[in-house]
Amino acid sequence: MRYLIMCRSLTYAQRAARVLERAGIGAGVIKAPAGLTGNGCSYCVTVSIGKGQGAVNILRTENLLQGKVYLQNIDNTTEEVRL
Amino acid sequence: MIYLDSAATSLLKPKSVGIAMHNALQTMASPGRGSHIAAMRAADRVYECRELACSLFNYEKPERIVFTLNASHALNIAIRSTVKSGDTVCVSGYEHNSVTRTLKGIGAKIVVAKSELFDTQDTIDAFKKLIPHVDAVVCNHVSNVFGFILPVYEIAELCQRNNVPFILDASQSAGIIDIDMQKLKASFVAMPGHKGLLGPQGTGLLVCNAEPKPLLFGGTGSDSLIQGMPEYLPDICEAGTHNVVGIAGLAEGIKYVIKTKPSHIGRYEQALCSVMAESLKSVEGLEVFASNNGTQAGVLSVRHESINVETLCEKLGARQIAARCGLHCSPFAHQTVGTIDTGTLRFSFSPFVTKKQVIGACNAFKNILISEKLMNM
Repeated sequence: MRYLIMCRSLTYAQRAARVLERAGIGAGVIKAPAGLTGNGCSYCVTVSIGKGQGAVNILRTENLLQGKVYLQNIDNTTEEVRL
Repeated sequence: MIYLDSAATSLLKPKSVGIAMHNALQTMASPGRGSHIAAMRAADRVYECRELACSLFNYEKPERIVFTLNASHALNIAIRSTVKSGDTVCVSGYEHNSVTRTLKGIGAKIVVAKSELFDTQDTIDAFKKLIPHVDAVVCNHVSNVFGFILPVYEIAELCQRNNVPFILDASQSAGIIDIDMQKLKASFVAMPGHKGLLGPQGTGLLVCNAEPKPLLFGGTGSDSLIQGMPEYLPDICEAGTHNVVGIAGLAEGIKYVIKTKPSHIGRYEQALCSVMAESLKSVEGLEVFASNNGTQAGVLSVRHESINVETLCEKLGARQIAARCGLHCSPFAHQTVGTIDTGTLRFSFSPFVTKKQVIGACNAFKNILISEKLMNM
């Protein structure tokens, strides 16, 4: 399980991931799963299940939280969460 | 070859530039076009270059660094985002065609803040008079013909006071003079990657403090369902596949510049310029356009009273000394200084040129002048 933090573009996802990494939170960048993006192709930042709240707090502070946050389950189903 | 044409293209690069480009060619695909390792490797390299540019220009927003093909491309985005047909735009008397042709193409009225060569206060005064009456200002940081360092921080400050957008053409200054985006009140700063930033040809950067409009339309790997360009940076200005190979090289060029420091590079080039100016200023019949007040970067123009610059440049080339002659795509600069009928022979320097090479070029040039004069007697 992991959190998917939606970003409006690859570059924003990269910036968000770098900010998290510099804060000690491991973060990856992946193409967002179909169904989570309203306008077609997009990217998201992934963080582990225990780091979601911390990651969201940092991105909110840095004004980099632009999209919804999802919890991705082991079976790849997703549910929107509010952190 | 003694390469003294870095104001056109810095032929001599750090070795890491070529290595990075070769590596990119073999291992990287395109950012934003997939999430496989080759695409993400490319994405990381491209993003790294944005961060390096931020570091160099004391800027905090990597997404506002746009990759372009060259400075002309960057200037077209900046100018077309700021100026509309019928607007009055103030430029310096030293602008390149990349600025003036773009303004003409839009249908803008150009007013020139004409000032004496190497006269900082005269330049500030000229802009001061015009800025309250114009819709925008576009100005180069360093004249590509004469190396004149324009007082762009002061000009930008005047623009801000009058609520006039300011676009900086940093084609000859990026990598050579410190550009601090926190201090410089500019809407856009445009530059090539292949000059002072020591990257390859086909690269350029636009730093966007204001909101740009798209110049090209096409795929971005984002918001694919929408038929307009994405409204956010950098995607709004980066249609089509990135020049990943070029950007990888540019990243290494910028790394070198950061490590060496632009101010050190600039001072070194200025010193080489002074060596050449001192050596040539006493040559009979030769007009040397040199500053004596520190307002000249590493670019030196000369002309001879009786031998045309094309002949001199050809003779230098035959001796493996690379320089450039003509108008250098900057008729405004020649009109300002009074060299429009002859053009100039331009020598420009880089961190990889040595003092010994410059002295060697001076001696060769003097010998050419002597033999040309003998032939014409």
